[in-house]
Amino acid sequence: MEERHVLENHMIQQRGFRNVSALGQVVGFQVRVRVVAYKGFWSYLIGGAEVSIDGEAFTRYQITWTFRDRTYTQDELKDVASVHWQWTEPATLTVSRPGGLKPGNHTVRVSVRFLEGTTPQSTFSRDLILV
Amino acid sequence: MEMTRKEFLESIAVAGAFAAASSAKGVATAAEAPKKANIRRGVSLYSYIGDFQSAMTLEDCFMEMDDMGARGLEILSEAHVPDYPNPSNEWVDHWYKMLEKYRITPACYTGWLEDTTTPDETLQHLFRDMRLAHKLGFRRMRAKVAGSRVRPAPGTRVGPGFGSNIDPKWEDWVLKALPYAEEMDMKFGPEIHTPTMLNSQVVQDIVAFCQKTGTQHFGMQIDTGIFATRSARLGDSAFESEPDPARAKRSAGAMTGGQAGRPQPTPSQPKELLKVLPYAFSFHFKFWEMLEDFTEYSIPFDGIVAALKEGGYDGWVCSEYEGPRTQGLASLQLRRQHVMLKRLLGEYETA
Repeated sequence: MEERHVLENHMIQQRGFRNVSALGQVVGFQVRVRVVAYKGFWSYLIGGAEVSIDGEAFTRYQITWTFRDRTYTQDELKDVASVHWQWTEPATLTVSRPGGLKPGNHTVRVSVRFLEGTTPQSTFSRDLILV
Repeated sequence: MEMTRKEFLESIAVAGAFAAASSAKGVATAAEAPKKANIRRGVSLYSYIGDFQSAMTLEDCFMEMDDMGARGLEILSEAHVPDYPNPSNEWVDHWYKMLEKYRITPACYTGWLEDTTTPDETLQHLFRDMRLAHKLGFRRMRAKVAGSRVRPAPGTRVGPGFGSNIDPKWEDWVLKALPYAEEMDMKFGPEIHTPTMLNSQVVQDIVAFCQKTGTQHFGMQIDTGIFATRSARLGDSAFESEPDPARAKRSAGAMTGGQAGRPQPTPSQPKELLKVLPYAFSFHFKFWEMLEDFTEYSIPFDGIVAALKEGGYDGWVCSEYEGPRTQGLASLQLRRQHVMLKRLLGEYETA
């Protein structure tokens, strides 16, 4: 018996917005993002994501992409032929930030660039709560 | 080393005397040094009722709870268990998989006591719910009355809200339930909820019963709505029926226990919890409106948490959101409450 779960009707998901730890230290945070087009995108067409939280911008190399159980750097995506970022499955962006984010309200801004011509860049902003 | 039979019997006698002395102390009041508090956060699934199975599945609710680190779960039997009272084995397996995946512990199960004709029938319903609660991993059960066809006569002693065919003689009824509760490893009791305050006769009677019997299987669940210092601004917004002409005098004031034209009952103070805390097996952290600054509009959670710490409460506190049911609002409100609770419980310091 599979329990389905549904998504929020926004590119940026509140569910899954949390700090992440490794080896006992808080090393960053995660946020889940939906693809903007219902057709979805093959991962090799993803140019990359930019993330800023409350105006603090993170560089290309501070961000990784996770689809299901596999994680990729932004540079690796162009070589991944088999992953389809689809409408019903958000990707998880993990952002490196020692100490993570403070609890409470944050304005999260995500901008995704595509290499395919007709969809150059999509930018969304949403206020989320980190518990 | 082998003991003689005499030595063995002596060692048992010492252990027995020690146990008897310890358990005698166990029913003492909270005035004797309380143990260190172990307050754990949870959520009652009732909080999501507006979205449940319309905009959120069970898994969505559990994902939210996992995000918040809210590990305890309360459910309402008939609302949340498919094919109640006999969910399929397949669903029960699935239930446990979901609990494990999202690191959730069953904290309290609400079972309704049917408005039956006799107290014995009601007892059978209680046992049926205890079996189901036990099966789903619960060891705490709140018994909630469903309807009340017969109003007690004026002046009748009021019981703890099990139902009018039981309430005036509720102690006898509970005594009959205790052996089964013990068999099911279940602690059960009513909810203390507005307009019943902590200093009411009902609460005093419950405390007296627990002290007299020394039972470990009966107590009460306490709803923080009783501490509200002012009426909620925003109430529950369930499906709105056309008005029933026979009940035209209802008002939003009913949410906090007052009714149109009647004064509000004086709220309980958090420090009143100290006297009754040994008999409280569960808390509903009821709220209606978490503000942007992470405080609640009506309810003094800082005082409540302080009292639970001082009293050494070892148990779950489950959020119970009862504000408007706009899609997505429960999720936002619960997250605000859990930021507040994590701060009050000092959880961010040890993160």
